[in-house]
Amino acid sequence: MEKFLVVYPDLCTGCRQCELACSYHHEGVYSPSLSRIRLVKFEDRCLNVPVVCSYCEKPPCEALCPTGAMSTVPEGPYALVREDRCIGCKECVHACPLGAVQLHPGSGVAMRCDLCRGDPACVKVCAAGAIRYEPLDAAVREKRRARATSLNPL
Amino acid sequence: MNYVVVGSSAAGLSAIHAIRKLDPCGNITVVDEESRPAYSRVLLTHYIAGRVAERDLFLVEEAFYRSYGVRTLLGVRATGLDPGRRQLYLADGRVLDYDSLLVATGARAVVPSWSRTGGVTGLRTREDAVRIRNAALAGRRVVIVGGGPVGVKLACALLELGVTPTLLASSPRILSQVADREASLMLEQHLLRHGVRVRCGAEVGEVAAGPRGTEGVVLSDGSTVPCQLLVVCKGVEPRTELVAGHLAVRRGVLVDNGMRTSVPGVYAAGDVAESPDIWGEGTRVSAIWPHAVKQGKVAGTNMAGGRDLFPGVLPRNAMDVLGMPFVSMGLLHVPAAAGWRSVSRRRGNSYLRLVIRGESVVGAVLLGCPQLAGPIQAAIRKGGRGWEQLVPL
Amino acid sequence: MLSIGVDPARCTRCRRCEAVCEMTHGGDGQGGRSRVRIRDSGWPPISICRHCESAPCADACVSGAIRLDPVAGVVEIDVARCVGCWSCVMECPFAAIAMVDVAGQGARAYKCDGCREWGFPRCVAYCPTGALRAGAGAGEMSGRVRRQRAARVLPGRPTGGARA
Repeated sequence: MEKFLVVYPDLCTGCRQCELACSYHHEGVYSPSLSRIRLVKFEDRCLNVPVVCSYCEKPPCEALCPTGAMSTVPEGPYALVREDRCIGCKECVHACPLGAVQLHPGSGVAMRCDLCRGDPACVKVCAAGAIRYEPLDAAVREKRRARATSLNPL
Repeated sequence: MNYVVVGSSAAGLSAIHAIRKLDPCGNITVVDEESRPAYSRVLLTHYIAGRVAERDLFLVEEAFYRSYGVRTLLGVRATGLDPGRRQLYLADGRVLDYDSLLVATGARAVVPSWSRTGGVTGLRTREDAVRIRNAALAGRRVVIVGGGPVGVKLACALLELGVTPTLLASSPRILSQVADREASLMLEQHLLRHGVRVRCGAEVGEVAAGPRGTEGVVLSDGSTVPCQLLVVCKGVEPRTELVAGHLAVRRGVLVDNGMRTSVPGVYAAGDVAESPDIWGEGTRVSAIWPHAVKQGKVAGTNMAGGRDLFPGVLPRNAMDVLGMPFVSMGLLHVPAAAGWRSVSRRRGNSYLRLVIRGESVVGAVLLGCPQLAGPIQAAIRKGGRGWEQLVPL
Repeated sequence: MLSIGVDPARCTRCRRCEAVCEMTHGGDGQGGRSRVRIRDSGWPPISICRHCESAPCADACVSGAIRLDPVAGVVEIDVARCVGCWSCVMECPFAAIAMVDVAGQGARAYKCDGCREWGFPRCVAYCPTGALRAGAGAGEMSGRVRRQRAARVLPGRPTGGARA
């Protein structure tokens, strides 16, 4: 069954462990600015939203990339950035409706979630269970339950 | 780490940049047989035309090497290599130890056998360019042998100086390697209109020398073209003699996409390297500037422990032929095989031809409409699909 | 580096960008000095320099005329060094470089300088529909979008979902 990175914002405590784990996994350093998953905090609403690539069926970042650097790998459903081809034109950054594509602050090449090739590091460190790697129907079931609960206060 | 870079032109300099980016402390030594800092060979025709001052030919100033902490051995030739001991031998007897070595020795001009006399020059070094420019300014008659990109650029440059040269091409049309027939003929007409005497299918037999030096050139059909200076632009060949016998060499030094040669610790980049093409179908030597810069960068990054890949050779050329921009790229020859075809469009002085394999564009010739060249090149690099939306034919 | 984004779907072809660019860069109102181009036919529909982090035009420049200025965050052309060889035009996938005779010395490479003396691209400031967007860097752009998007998240519902 196809698994998805699903984010549950109201479970998120805003601890930023996901950012650190992602950065360490991909870059070998603990730096949130090098993370593929980024946390947006709304202090006034007490809401923390982890934002990560949602693997669109028709990814605009791939469609607009002039060099073919943004590509989904044929052997797996992971998206890789072919860094040798990336010219840092930022088309993908502008194209992404989620703000989930960024540029590496050092090398200037695009950064996008590659699901750690099937074993996401952010999920493993998320103590609150706000980031899960699960089939979509589990997420839909959760969403249905949340909606139904709000309709029928017990 | 000891890095040794042989050759300090486009590829060598770009490698030095890349190494220093990753390794601030390593020892970098650059060896080059020319005693002055690197200059741009591509600019030589522009220098002859007077568009570039001599001091602007130089790519870097001497301060560059100091600020990058690079030890320079300029004016010294590297003569030998021992990949087992990781040592490089220099002409002055010195021996350099290296941990990683970049061979960026470049290419030399092809010199035909008849041309080893006075009054004949190539166009590869600054001295050649100075000599040609002075001869042209003194009103000498110049004959250019070779109808390739350098020959045509030189003809345009001389025309800008007020000298009308004669261009001898051994093939039946000029630019036969980088243009299709239609574009060649259009450019030939264009050159003729501006006064350049173009003779195609002209094979040089010998140089006619008189008491006052070169007086002309005798063609194989017996006719003589008078001239005082003969410039040979018959292309370049990779300078592989330093590494021949140690590394795998075909036309150039064979490298993979990481610019690694067949021997660990030795890299090659630039005009000397023969690297895979972007289609992954074979290897090519490509003596063009953007490849040298990119390959140097890739080699330098990998030498310093980083990871980078060269996307592959995409042969291409751009030039301004007396106000008419000409760009060609990719595969231009259409074999009589299934799946290959070409589409073309001509409107007045603008001509465009695309070479299509299957559904993908793999080559293009653009004359007078260069603004499409970038998008078409991007399409070729992305696999060649979707060219229909770029080019309304 | 300066980050300029283009969304042709939002462009209404009002050509305010071309007009303001023309005025900013000393044109005569005929459009010859505009560095942003709106095309009615042909490709691309909008062409403007993206100020790439590792710009292919700069790598291809044989005379060292095209440089990345990391302080101003733009890719710049030094017209005095340009020899008009078309190499950069051949490399730009966005068709953002033209050849214009600015100083009467023949055609030289000509493209967006990010309005460095103004601090912000004026074409973007004057675009009424958001077809042109810009930020000081890619981080600012993606951060802005991320925050706008995340603000629409309703508490109590899962969001996102990456396939694997």
